[in-house]
Amino acid sequence: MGTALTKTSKGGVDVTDLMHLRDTLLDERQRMTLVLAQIEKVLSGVKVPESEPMDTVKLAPARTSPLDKAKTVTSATADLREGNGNLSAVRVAKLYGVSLSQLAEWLGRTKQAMSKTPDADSLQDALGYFERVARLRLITKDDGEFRKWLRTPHELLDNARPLELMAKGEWQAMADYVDDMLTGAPT
Amino acid sequence: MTELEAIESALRAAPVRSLKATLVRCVALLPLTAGGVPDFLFTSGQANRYNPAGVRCVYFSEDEATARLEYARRFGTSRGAHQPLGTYFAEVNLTKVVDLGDPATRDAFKLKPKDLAATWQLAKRPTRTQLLGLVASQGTVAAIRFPSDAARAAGARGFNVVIFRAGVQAPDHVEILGPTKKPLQKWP
Repeated sequence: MGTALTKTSKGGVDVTDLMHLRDTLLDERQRMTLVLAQIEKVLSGVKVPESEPMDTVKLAPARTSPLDKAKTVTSATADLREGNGNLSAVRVAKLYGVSLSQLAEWLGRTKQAMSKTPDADSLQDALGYFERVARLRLITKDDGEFRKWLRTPHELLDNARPLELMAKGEWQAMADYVDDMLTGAPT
Repeated sequence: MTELEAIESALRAAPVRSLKATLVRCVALLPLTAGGVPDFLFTSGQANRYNPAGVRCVYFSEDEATARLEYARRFGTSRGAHQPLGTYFAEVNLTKVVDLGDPATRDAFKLKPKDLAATWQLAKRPTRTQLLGLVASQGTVAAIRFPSDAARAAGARGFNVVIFRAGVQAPDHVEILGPTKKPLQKWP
């Protein structure tokens, strides 16, 4: 991967270079996906030990979304953030209509720890998924309709309710599902 | 032989056809225009019915009615169904296309109707159609034509086409139609 960035006469980075770099990265990601699929096939026949408890697992942040750069979209969830820009577990729990204890359990934390610092840096990756799902508020009438949507079975989710899936840790799948709703991706 | 190897092997022997058509896509206007100039051939890399995450591809429908059904399926009667909509058309000329509308081609990949309608959103590992897309995306073919599940769910009949960036090499092309002869965007 030998892409080098050049500076424009005004000192900025050339957009064409960035687009080439993006294409190179996407090609690399596609190649890695193929390798990963091959590895998963091999691993599917191997017995693996039980997974670690939730609170010891290092959670990966949500994959980037094509909507991350859309201010109108991200502004739909601005009220979930504290003044420092961090997402607040208290605000997320309130929006989702669940108790802080419930949310803490889903995140593998204690209620005490979440109550003490609901916008802790260590919670941001996990809360990021909840923020992605909450972007649906952009197209719901109000928060009540969003909560209703969370509790309604969806045909494309095998008739599961989004909130059930969030509780089961299907965070990336749900974040992608909302993205697809907002971008009109085919089903 | 793993499932992936079986699909690779089937793809080498499967019938392919050319496709010269005008395809269509409906998307919500807001995300389409969020970055300023619309990127009609934007590849999000997100998983879909014929690609696992990380594959560069775009989806179109063969006709506007199917594109609308695909767009509207997730919304149902919610308010979002009536938000501003963007419809655009792509003229495609592709030499090697896997046509799953053809029973012989489906048989070549041992694809059953349940495979074509599988719920991929919650799949723990790539579905059979996603594996097919993954293999096809390596440049072997340019696209896969497949029955629209949204159309099926609505009691209609329609087809979609997923086009893989790596498979579109000149003289093949995908051109987004604009007001003049000059395309708004194109591959390659």
